[in-house]
Amino acid sequence: MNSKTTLIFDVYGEYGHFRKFNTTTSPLTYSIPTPSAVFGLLGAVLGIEREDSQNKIREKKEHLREVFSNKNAFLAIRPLSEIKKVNIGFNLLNTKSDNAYFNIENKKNEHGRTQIEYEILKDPKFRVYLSWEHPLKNELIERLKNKNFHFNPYLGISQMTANIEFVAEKELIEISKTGYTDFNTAINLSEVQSEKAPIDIDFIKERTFQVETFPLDMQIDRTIKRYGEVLVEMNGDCVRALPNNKSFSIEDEGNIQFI
Amino acid sequence: MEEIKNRSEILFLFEIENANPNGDPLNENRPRFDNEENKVLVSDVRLKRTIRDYWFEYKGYNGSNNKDIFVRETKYSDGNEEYIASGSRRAELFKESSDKVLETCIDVRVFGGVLPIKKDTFTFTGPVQFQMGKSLHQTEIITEQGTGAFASGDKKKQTTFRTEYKVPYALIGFNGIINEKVATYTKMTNNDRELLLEGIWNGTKNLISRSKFGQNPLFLFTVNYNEPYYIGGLRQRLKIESDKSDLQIRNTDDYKIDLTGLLKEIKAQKDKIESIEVKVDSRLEFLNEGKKYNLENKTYQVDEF
Repeated sequence: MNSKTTLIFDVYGEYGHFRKFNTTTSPLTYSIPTPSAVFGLLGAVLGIEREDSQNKIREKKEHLREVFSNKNAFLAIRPLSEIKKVNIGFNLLNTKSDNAYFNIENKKNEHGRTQIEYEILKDPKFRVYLSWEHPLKNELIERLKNKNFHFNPYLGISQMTANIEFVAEKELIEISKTGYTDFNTAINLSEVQSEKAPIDIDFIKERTFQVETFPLDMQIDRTIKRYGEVLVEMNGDCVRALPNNKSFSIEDEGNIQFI
Repeated sequence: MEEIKNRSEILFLFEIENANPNGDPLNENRPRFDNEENKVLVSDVRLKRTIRDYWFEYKGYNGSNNKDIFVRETKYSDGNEEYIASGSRRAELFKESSDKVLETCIDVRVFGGVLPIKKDTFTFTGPVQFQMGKSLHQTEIITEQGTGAFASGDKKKQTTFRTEYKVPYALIGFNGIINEKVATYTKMTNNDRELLLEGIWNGTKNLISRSKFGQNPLFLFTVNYNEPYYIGGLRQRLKIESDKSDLQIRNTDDYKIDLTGLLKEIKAQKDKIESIEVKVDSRLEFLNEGKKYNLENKTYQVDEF
């Protein structure tokens, strides 16, 4: 952690879809956006080009994964509302070969359309804490404050456009407590080193937890260097867990943990 | 052709009466429906199809004169040389380069696209994005049984039955956005923008298939910004005022549209707004802060609200 402060902003929309890497033909969604999805969203705000069209117009030359890397960017994500998932069927086109494209209905029915049900987040709303050290930081703050987004930010799929509200930049205060502490954000179970259970089990009666395997550190070639078991409370309530060295307290925000 | 320079935001309302605005292929073609809010949904792809079909049928984007629609069906059929020839010519055309596709196909310039050409694969996010459309009030799905005109197979003496699903009435709203920065990648022009707005309105009117007849465009509100900014969520700022319960709404006489939330935000952001283009059906009635409000078919300056 090389920044002592964190940017706080809210991301929300009507629908969102952050596809799990292990679901291809029946896409399921993560309950909260993955770090790579949040970085992509901020890249859109800053005008960093898509990975597959990098340097096409050459407005920004740096690669998204370098601007936000495991070394300089840390994220904590807090659900601000109940996490609701609905299924919506989509009609997809086969785009594997150019032949398929022009013959959507051919005689042998080799190609054509597939109906696939997507699991989609409904009315997602998250508060994102970003601790980040980079020359573009002030530009990002200005853009978020003025809603001056270069490309349209979206929640996983381009038609699910996102709204972003900047909240504040606040100081990170270290947590001195070592016992179970209430956290407002999702927590990374893989980063807890203790003999004790990482979360207070007594709490479970009133809470609904979901644990998902998250890709946490994506490289330029899209390989993942670090995974983590991320636990999130599905009603937007807090989680009582053990603090680690990425846990901090923020004034008026409560405790957070960078994943 | 000049590429677009300004960001715009689109709010589009249309009505549908006794028809199915967008069937769900995985749910027996029932209208897409949000069971939590009891509102009917229309996918963004449905609206884009409407616009593409309009360009194809009425604007000459049918494969001639270097004007084409990229995502459209070209069917194979036996013994019809013309059809096969046109299919292969189309394929040949697009095998050349992505620049050629962008030059020819208006829908790639406007909505983006993915094409696996061997030498020159591209993925374009479109400058124009629509969110899922949603009704502004609660509605319901009605099931209708009828008899078909055909038998289900040979040697049958009776015709089959058919089942269809409809909504009795719905006022549906779409949010859209045109991003000028993305347009530099796909080279969307001002002319494309005009055709887009025309396609939204006239395309919806021209959907005269059995399941879509009864759709009418009612309101098209296009906010043109003078800086890279947009308000976001215009539809969510509208409210419906009605003496009837939501499920009893059957036509434009049954409700008024409350613009208070929308106009308040427009006024608050007026420094960033260049102009607002309004297209409106004369049957619609509006309210602002509890009073009747009139909107005309014209381009407004922001001070006029």
